[in-house]
Amino acid sequence: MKSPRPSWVVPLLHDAQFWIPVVVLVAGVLVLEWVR
Amino acid sequence: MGSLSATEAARRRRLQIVGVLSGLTAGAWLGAAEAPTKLVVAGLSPILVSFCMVIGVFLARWSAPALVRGLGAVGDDARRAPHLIVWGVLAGCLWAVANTLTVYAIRDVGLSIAFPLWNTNSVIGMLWGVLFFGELRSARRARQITVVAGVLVLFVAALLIAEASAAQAPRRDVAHGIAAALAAGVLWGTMYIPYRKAYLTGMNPLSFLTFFTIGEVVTMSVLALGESGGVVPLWHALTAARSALFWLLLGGFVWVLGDLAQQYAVKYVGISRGIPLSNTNQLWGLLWGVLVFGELRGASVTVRFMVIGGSVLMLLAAGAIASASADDREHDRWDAAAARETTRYNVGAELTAGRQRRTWADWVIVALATGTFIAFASLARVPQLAIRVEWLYLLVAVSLSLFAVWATTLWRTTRFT
Repeated sequence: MKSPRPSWVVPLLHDAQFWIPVVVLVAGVLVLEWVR
Repeated sequence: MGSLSATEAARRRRLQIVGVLSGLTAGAWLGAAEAPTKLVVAGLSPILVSFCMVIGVFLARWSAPALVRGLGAVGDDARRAPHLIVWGVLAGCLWAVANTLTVYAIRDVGLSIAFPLWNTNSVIGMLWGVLFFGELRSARRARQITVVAGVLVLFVAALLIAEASAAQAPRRDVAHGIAAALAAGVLWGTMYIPYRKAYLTGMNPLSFLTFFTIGEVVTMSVLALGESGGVVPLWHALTAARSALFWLLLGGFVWVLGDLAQQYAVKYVGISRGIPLSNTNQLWGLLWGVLVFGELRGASVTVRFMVIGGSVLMLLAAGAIASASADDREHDRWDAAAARETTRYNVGAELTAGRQRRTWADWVIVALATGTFIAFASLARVPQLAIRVEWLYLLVAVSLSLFAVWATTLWRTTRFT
């Protein structure tokens, strides 16, 4: 029996507040590369 | 809308007190956490320093929930709001990169300078609090003005201290150190989005930090492996520095206790108040740096004045912000934000069941963590540093007392929910 997609996945991907930390994280890694 | 019942008003007042006390305790312990890293004077790169701290954090973060609530309760929380696992892991990734940046910042501009710079995280956190979680939006004008003025003073104080750093270190190091400290501030400030999301949904901080640690350990392992060039070189670097590892584990452990208090502060008074309060860690960092490690010993009077004056300004601003407590209208905004979260992710309004049950597995985790600390302590060596022991004892005693008062108050008021 095929299990349904968890109900929280789509709301998470459509949550703009989720993508802000993601972008900040990527920027932080770039700064880290620069200061190393 | 009817007026609040006396019981509800009293409950909000009690939670406000717990939140403020959580923020102040967090300040003392987050400030103390940087002290053990000062004992690591040679042999490890900043990334490895951060990696070892994260191992200490990992040990503390899994053993503390096991000890206080039992990991079964953490599993229950995860099943009720699985999306918060992703948020927790993301917050852990942000923390790990920010923490590594702070180690570079300390290396390049010193603890006394770097601390206030990355403490601009409260400004970033406040911005997200206002934009996304309805914090301050419906507050009375005087409270809004207090907060905005506080933010401006924080910025001026940060500039003052950054300017002082130029007189203390070589030019290239200053640029890198300031960039690292400010970037850490942005990362940590943004980390409060996941925190607030979790607590508006009703998650227990002890559960959230259990997921958080997975993001931390994975991110730091990737960074450490990348820098070392593989597992074997990483192992060699760690074994070569084994006498210093305990101090880093200890730093991570102390940090977790501070962060736990900070999470309760965010839960009960929000980002806008909780984070400026916990950012009194700057004062504690300054106290540890100056009193115990003798920092600023060779600095000119002007530089000392700028660093201390900037720090005092920051504290005053943080105090003003924290004193602008949330009123009923703002609480309604918080409730609306919480309702949005529970509807969006389809979770029950009340997540925490408050069950306390421990199994043998919890005790095994606690025993393993304790054993690991004891093993590393037996390998530890105190480096040749001029440490003022009497100040060390005093600061440790004050920090422990504050923690005891906080934990007792939290237990009486919330049963650690």
